Amino acid sequence: MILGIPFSDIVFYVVAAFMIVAAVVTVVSKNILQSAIFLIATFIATAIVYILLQAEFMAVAQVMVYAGGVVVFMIFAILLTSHLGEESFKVHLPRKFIAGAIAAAFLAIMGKFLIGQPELATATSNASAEASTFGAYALRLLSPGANGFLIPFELISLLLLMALVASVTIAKKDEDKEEK
Amino acid sequence: MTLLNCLILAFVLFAIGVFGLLTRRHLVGMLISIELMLNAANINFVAFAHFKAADATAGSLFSIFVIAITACEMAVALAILITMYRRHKSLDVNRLEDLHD
Amino acid sequence: MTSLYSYSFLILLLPLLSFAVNGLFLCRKSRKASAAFSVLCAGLAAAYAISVALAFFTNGATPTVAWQFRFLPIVGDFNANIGLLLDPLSVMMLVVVTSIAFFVNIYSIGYMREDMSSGRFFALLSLFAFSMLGLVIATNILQMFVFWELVGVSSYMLIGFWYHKPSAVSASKQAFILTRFADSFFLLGMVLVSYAVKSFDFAALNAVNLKDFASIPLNLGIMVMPASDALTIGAALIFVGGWGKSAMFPMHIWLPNAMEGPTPVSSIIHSATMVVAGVYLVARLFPFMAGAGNTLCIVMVVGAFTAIFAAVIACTQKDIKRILAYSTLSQLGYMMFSLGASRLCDGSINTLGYTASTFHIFTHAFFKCMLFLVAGSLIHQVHTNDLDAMGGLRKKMPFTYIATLIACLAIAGIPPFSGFFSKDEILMTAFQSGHVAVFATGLLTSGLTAFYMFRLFFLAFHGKARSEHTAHAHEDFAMTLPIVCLAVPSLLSGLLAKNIFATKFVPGALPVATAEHLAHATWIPYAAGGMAVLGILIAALFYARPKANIERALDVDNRCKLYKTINHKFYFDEIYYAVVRQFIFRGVAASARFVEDWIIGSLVNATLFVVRKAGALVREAENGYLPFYVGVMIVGVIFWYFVGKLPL
Repeated sequence: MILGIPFSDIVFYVVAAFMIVAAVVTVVSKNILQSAIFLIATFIATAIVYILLQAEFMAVAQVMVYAGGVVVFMIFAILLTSHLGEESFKVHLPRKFIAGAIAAAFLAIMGKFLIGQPELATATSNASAEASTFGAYALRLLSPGANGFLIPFELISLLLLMALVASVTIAKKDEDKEEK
Repeated sequence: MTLLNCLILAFVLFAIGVFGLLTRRHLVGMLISIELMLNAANINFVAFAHFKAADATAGSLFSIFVIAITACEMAVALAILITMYRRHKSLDVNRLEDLHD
Repeated sequence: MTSLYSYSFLILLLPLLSFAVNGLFLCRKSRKASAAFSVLCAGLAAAYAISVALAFFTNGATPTVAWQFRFLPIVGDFNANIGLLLDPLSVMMLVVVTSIAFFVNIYSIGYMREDMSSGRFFALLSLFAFSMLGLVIATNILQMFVFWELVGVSSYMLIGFWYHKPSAVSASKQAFILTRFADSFFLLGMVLVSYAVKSFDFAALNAVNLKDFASIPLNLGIMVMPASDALTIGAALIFVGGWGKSAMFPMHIWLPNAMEGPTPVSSIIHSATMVVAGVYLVARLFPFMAGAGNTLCIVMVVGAFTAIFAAVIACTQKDIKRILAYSTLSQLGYMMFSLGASRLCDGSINTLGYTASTFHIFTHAFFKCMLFLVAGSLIHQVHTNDLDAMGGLRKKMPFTYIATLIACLAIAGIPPFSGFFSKDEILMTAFQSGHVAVFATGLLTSGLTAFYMFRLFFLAFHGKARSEHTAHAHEDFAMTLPIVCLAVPSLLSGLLAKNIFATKFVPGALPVATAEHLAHATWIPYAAGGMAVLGILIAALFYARPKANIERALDVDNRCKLYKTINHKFYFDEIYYAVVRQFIFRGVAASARFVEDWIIGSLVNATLFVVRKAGALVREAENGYLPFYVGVMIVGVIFWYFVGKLPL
């Protein structure tokens, strides 16, 4: 409790501010590698928000899959495809304006939605502490019963395998072209 | 920390993603923006699950699947990007005009 | 028997099947296969038609509608149907059309043997058979009109079959345009009549009694007239359709020119079947026409004049097919004036005219079809249409010679050949009608017919060979077989069918009185036969006498003016040419051209401009630029929020 505000709220505001700054840097940075790095920062901040929302399992998954997997993969792709710092993609100002206007219009619509729902500010969590533990998540994910998610989990693993094979097939060098 | 705060955060992140998607010229940059937007959607999921749902675990698990599918998508997309780079020697969308054939 | 009737649409569908299969698959693959398939379908259709005819005539010959379905509902009970009517007239025509189509298909195997595109020929021949059958079985005038136009189209395509010949192309255009011109009157009359009667059905039209309609006003938009007047006008307009299709004077010129087509086509379309469609139309609507004022008088005058006019021209022609074409015209004139002469001066109807005309359709179909096949055979051997180059073919083509002799005797009207009986009845009708001039015309034409037919016969088969090809002529089996087969009905159809026609071929209930107790002149057969014998003798005197001067007989240059005028067909081609050139080209076509160029053209250009600009706008959007697509997508989602039902 600091200044009558709960500690978790202070953490949330700080993390949220950091996340927004990191996201802005991610999209405006001229250096694509820099934006990938800031994307990791955004993801880690998101993981903290998950912890605040009592979804520790999600936070761990976020850090492992996103920050640790996807973005690293992305950085590899960047390093494979571009000469660092050499390529500068200049964006015209009108395009930025149009993009900003579209984003602002989106925000405006969402804001209108939020204003129309005053009970959002007073909603309180009814989740029990036991339900959000690590073990509870794992049990739900791996139990085959009516409340379990075993079959979607297996399907997702199959999908990942397929994506893996597919990306290897796509990205492997065309042997016919090599010979020419 | 209320549901409203979480939603505002998610929407702002999403709008930033939209802005990035529209302004980026680098294809990887566009993918990064898409990641941002998906992340915002995930925050939404988890926030609603935490504040509104009777079964918070199920709601959060949904974003697990989103993350997994995003991982698949990224893998395939990056593979495509690498082949594209091999063919065009560039990932600048301004130069990828053979889409309209 | 009912099942025989209920499947009788197969007669119609077999040629259509042949057309579809030949046209779509066989015509490019194998000429032999398409010929075989065509002959098979035509043979099956003919066999079916004959069995239907046998069942029909042995079971009392009561008119029945074998099947019918509604294909266009118009208003209330006023429907456009497609059906299959079986009555003596249509059954007779079914037999004639299918059997002649069968023989002509066989003949074409020989005739088109060297033609590379004979697959197309067989397909079109089947299309023609289908349309002609659809025409004769029509239960209502709209169906008849539809198939009427279809026969016109198939005739057009077959006349212009050798499209690399400019003369064939222009002849096909001439035939099509001229018959279309007449058909537009038919259409007008059909609309007028069906509007007044509120039905297309022949049964309803033939039941019309003008007296019932005299007091009903008919609003035609621009004027109101009594429905009975409209019906009379409509009857005359419908007859104009038959006028053009049967090539009556002065719309006759397309028929001789149509001889540019392959000879089997002339044989089936331009002698035996399609050109009698006009006569068939009048016969089909006979009770209606009989009641409709003086329409039958027009029919009679037009028919009689054409009969003698064409016969005179035929006497001087040298092109073998043109002689036969003019002969066809003359015989069609016979059929027409026989129908017309049914109406006596006091307005009562002599049903003998109807019987005689339908009888003549029947007998004429066989011998004229066969004569054309003979002409085709000769042309195939001699490589020219010109009688100048023939002569002496008697020894080279003995079967053809005998068959031709039978057909010539039949058309000349020598007993007991088929033409004698029908022509005798026609002359009897003319005599009984009391129109002396028409009777005299008929009798004179009968003599002229004998003359020109035997002129052709002697010049082609007797004397010495006048060209090299003629000396080496021989008979082709596929072409001789149908000729010999057709000689049988040419010989016997009159004798055998006389009683059937006399008893079964009487028009249905007439709205006007039937003439009774007419004078039966027993001398008419003798007079007709005598005229024919006289004609033959004169022809023999000129062309077959041992000392005959054939060169002089065939000479057309050193002749008197009258002969030259006749030889030039009374300059009708030239008159048509001048009228078309001066009036149609300079007047109608030029103004149409103006409208086309300046009004329609600018409209088209304006449309083009708008479409092109709109296209350019859309093309801008299709720029293949990824961020643009993404932006449009997001804007679309936002836009959806405003107009759609996005649950936000």
